[in-house]
Amino acid sequence: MANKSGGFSDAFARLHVSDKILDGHQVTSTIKSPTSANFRDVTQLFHQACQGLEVGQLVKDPNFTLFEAVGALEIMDPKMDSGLLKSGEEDTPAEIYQPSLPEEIIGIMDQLLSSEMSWHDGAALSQTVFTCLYIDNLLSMNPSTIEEAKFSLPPLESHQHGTPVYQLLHLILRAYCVGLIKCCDHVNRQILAEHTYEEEDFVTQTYNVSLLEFVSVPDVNKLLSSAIEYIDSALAPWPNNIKMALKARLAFRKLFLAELSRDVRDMVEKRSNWDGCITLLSTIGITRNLGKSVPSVFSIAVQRKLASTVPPRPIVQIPFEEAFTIVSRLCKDAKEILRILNYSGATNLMTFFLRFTARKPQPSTYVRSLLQTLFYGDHIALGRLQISDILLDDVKELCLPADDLFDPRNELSEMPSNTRYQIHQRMKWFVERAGNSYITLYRTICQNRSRLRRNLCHLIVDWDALQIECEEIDGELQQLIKEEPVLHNDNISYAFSLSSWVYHYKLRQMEWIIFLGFELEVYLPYEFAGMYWYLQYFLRTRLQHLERIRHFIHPSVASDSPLASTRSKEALASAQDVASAQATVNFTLLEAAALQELCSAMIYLYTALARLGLVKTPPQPYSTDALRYELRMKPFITIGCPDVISFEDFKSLVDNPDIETLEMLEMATENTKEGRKNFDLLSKMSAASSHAMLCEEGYRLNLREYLRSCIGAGVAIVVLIKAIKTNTLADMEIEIDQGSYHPWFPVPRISSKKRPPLPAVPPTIAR
Amino acid sequence: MDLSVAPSALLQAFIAKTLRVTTKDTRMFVGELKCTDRESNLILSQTHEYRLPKFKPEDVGRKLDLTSRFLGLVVVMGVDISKIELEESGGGIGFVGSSSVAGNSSLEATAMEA
Repeated sequence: MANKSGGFSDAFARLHVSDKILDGHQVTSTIKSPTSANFRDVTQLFHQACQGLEVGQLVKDPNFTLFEAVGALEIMDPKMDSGLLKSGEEDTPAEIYQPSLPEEIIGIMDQLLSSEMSWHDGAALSQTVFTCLYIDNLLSMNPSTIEEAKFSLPPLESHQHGTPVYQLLHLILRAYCVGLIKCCDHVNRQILAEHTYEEEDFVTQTYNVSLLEFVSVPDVNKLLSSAIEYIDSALAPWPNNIKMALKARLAFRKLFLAELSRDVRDMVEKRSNWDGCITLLSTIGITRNLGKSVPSVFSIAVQRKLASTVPPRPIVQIPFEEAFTIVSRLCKDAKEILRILNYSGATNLMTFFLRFTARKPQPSTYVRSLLQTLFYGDHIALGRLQISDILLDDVKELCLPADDLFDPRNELSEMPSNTRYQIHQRMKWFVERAGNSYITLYRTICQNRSRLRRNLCHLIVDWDALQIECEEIDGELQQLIKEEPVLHNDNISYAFSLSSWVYHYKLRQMEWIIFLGFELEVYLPYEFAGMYWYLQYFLRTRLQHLERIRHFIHPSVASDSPLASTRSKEALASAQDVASAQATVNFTLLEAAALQELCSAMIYLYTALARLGLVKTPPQPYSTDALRYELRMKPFITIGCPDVISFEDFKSLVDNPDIETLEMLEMATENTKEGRKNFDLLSKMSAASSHAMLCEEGYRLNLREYLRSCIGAGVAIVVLIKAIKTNTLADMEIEIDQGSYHPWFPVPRISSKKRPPLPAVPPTIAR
Repeated sequence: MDLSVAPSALLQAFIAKTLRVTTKDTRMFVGELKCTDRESNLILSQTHEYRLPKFKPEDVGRKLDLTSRFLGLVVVMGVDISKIELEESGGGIGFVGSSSVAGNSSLEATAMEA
């Protein structure tokens, strides 16, 4: 015993371990200097010491919390340990099947495309592209040049060097794989360059495998070209349709890679060729049936080798048809977003962002990331502008402030006492302060819909602060330029152009938050009336504000302004500028009015449905209406204007207990009629006056959906009125239709209940 | 057991030291000990997994990388452990020329090359 204890203390004394140098590297696949470390077997000692512990006693690093331990991977647990071998499974990788038919190569290429698009669609590389044994084989040697990027497969009798069978694998499939990996490399770089949500939108994790980042695109191109040349040559003995299929796939890779690796400057100069990709894709689709799939070349076992701090995940490989749809849509969308490079005003640009990102299904993460780069990559807006150009255009298009604010001579003035200098300082502040918020707004619109809603809740707080700051600047500017006050609503007032513009955007964002709540199905049907009430409240506020903006377009300044003598002519707004700002305001008024009518109709309709018991409040054992109201109003509670109203007022305003149900439905009918009239007017307007030059199709589709909701609501109201009058309400049931109408205006479908099947014996006889 | 050093104090000396743990399926995990208990369950941080590649006749004489990958924070159950080793000198985590572990002279030679 004494001896043993001596052994312990002796061992303890010898436990001299120098301070450990933390290994900061994420992964090491090669072995480090072998002389630096020495390992001593302490198994016995360790186990004995452990057995001396009490049950439940832990020995731990004081800085280590058990909370962290929750994130640990459990070794030897099949669900957590990607390196675990199944019982009886050999660690030696199975021999990779070496195909000898061109049909098999086509099949593998198409399977790879499915894997690649599964990755684009949100799965990890470890579940998709990396599970292909050929990709694994190619990348496992960590190639840094195109020559090294090749398969290392055991030589086979059937695959003699230089034969067509050999070339199928070592030239054609290799070129395709290299091209595909390089495509993934560029997609990953693009997505990492902009703001997206890791794991939520896309998984950029590469498990420390280099996606041929050191191999140049021209080298990959050369390899793909030589593969195509080989197929074209007399050496390739395959039938023409096979040749065409192989060539289309290789050529697509080449073009796709060219597009994915293109920089913004190139795009500005209109060198993009997404159409070429789309054409080749159609050939791939036609020749799809020539391929023979080879499922054995994909294996989950590859995950054993990947540096991954997460548990193993299953293989994801969407069907070819789905992958084909995704890649086709990607090419079309990527082509479409290039339209924003034809800048035609800020309002048009905003409409494009709103309509493009609202599309169902939402454009892919890659495209939404690329859209952000086109908008403001490398701090250049649309590849050639400054953000101030777009920002000030946006202000002018809506509010058209006084000319003196934008006079280029302001900037030239260097005397701090000079009025022009002082104006310039304030405008510079505005461009910087509002510019940031403005860029963030565009970037936020590019996020996924749930994030958009969530982030807007934060943005409105910033825009609210911006509004207050701008009011102050507006006040200073109106004195500097000697703005003439104007009578508006019995008050003498000034334009407050900058803060008006900010307020308008803030109100729109507040509306979007609630609208997105409908789109994302956040609200339950019994809340619909209340949420539409808030929408119509925001819209009414915005309508009043727009009236005010219209009143103050291009405010006049005193004729004795000291700036009059030094005003530059090119800064003066023309009559056309004034007219176009008025037209913008009128259009925006019409749009807001149409929405407001539809919202009002919805309030009455859903309130009536609640009264009639067709929309029921579910039991809320742990909640109350007041608590829920508080929750819904949380994003708006800190906003200065418009105010959140008290729950009691809200309830009586929404419920309208003084109005008869039938009367309420008559009012709703009026609203749908008005709304419909407004939407009809909107659809008759040209793309230019609707500011939908960049996305006319999407804009018109959106209008048609509004109209459909309007008509649907009208129908529901008629059915309801009839049911009340004929006293058949008890037979009615409703179903909220989220799918076939505008996502912001789900419409109830009211129908009579399916009658139970007639009993076999008539009830009268039975009695 | 009359110990001049309490077991917990002895074990405490292992905390934050680099261990190489061999599991019963012959994999090795090299990481820094964060926590242990009566069952010798170990929590290791900054862990790398090493597995011995299987040799094929044609591989003899070729440079072979030991398959290693980074796993981060892991839990290894005491019952799965066949060997625990302590890293004694400073520097990186590495494979030492301990033939008892590598068990294959050609592997060692390649390790030296690397």
